[in-house]
Amino acid sequence: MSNHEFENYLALVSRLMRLSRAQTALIRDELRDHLETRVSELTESGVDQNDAMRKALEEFGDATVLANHFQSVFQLNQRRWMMRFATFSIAGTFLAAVLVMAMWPSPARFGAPSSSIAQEENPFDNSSDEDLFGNDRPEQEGDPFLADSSSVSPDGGNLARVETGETTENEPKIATSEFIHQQLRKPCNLDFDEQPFIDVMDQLCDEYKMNVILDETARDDSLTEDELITIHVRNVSLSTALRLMLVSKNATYVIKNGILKIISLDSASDPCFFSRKIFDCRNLLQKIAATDSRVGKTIQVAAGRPSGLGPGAGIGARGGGGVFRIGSTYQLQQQPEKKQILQAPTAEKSEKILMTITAESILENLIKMTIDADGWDDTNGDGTLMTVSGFMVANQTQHTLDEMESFLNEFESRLK
Amino acid sequence: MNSDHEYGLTMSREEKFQSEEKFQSDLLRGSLELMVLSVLANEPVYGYLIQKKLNLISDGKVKLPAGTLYPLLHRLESDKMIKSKWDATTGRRRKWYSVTARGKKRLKQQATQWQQYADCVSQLIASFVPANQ
Repeated sequence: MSNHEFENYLALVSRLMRLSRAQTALIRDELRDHLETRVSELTESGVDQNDAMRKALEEFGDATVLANHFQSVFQLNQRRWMMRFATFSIAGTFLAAVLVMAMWPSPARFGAPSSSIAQEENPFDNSSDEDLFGNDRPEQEGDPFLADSSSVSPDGGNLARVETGETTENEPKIATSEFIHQQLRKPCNLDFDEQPFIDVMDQLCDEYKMNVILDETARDDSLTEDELITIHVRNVSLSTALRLMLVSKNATYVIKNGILKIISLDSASDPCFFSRKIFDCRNLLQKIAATDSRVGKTIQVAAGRPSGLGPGAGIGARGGGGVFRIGSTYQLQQQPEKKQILQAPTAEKSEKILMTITAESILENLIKMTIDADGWDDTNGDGTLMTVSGFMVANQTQHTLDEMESFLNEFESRLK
Repeated sequence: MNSDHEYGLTMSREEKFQSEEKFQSDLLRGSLELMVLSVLANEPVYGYLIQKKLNLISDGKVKLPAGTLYPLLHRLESDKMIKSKWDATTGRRRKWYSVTARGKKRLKQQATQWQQYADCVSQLIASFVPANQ
């Protein structure tokens, strides 16, 4: 047996193993070392070279069996790697899915109403048809503001929808009307030359993180997304700029449920577009009570005349809340809580009642006389106003509410 | 080739007379890994030397064929029980094997099990073993 057969044996094993060239080379080197060591040991013990080679190869056994043994080892290795790869792939996919789920905004994840839709910030229960004061809720059924934004079709006027800017690190906050009010108080510069209305609103939405919807009432008055807008104002509040821009198109806006809704100017006085706002007037009322000498005095008013007297009378610790007109028609009396029949100035007999003047009644009366005088319930309007525990609750047009806020702030600052 | 192939163990013609003295392959089947790890436990050894040491320690009763030894070594290496290193300082390019920490742990476990197994079998067969053995 020659050295050539020795190499033939190794070549046969290598070919039968069907492994990679690198793997085959290493195994072949190792087997060659074994064979050569064995042959050298046998020849050193006196065995003939050819016999030594034959014996060494015999001890190795059949080339096919040896190749199969090696192949089974490497196949086992491959199966293990495939199992590991499959396991890691599945684990990785699952982990990625969990991460995506965790990072995705939860409302979008479950198809719930978008986070841009606000909840009613009114602390009072909104479930009944009437509020705490017996006033009808104008938008209980089919309220467009309560609708899921996802259900608002493009025809329904969903101009733009953005996330509120007030978000925590991971969880976006639900936009509130208060947030929009804050944004509207910010100063702004508007410079638009015949820009489509939708582009203007998109820009404002992006910049101020507000949700805006174009209502059908505005569309009916020819304000569409394609309407060209031209406005140039500087250093005014966004609310002023917006109102100025919209009024030229016979439109205005209302804020409800965290959404700014563009409506027609005519429909603004419709109670269904009224907004409700709560003003903290505790400090202001204290100042009025301390400075106005009329507080605590009694006046005569015609029974049933002030519509706010019914539900409002007796509510609150001060027993106030009634609405009255301060004028020559009524006389101030010094006997509080006393009811009597008096002669009316018109010579007609009518029932009169005595009312104690409170800081609340003064403030409510002042507001009703100076802001949207014809828009309140006691003057055949639809707006309502009530003061409870120092908080003034008003249900009025957005414009009136804005003016109320401005007036109350200014009035309080003047009373200092 | 004048030899018997039985569970990977090869007996040459010259060794046939010793067949009664060698362990049956059934006995060896489950213990080859333990024996190889035992040989590698103390120092790095190459394949041919493992074969010789096993033969020497067992007084010729364990003759592990190269065709069985090398696939076993490669399997243990892929299992991270042993590791290898090529070396040519002896003038011949040679692959040296040594046991890993995982291999040592496995060796201890298997050694304990085998000892308990051997003790158990010893007690069972004590009355059947000839006195001269």
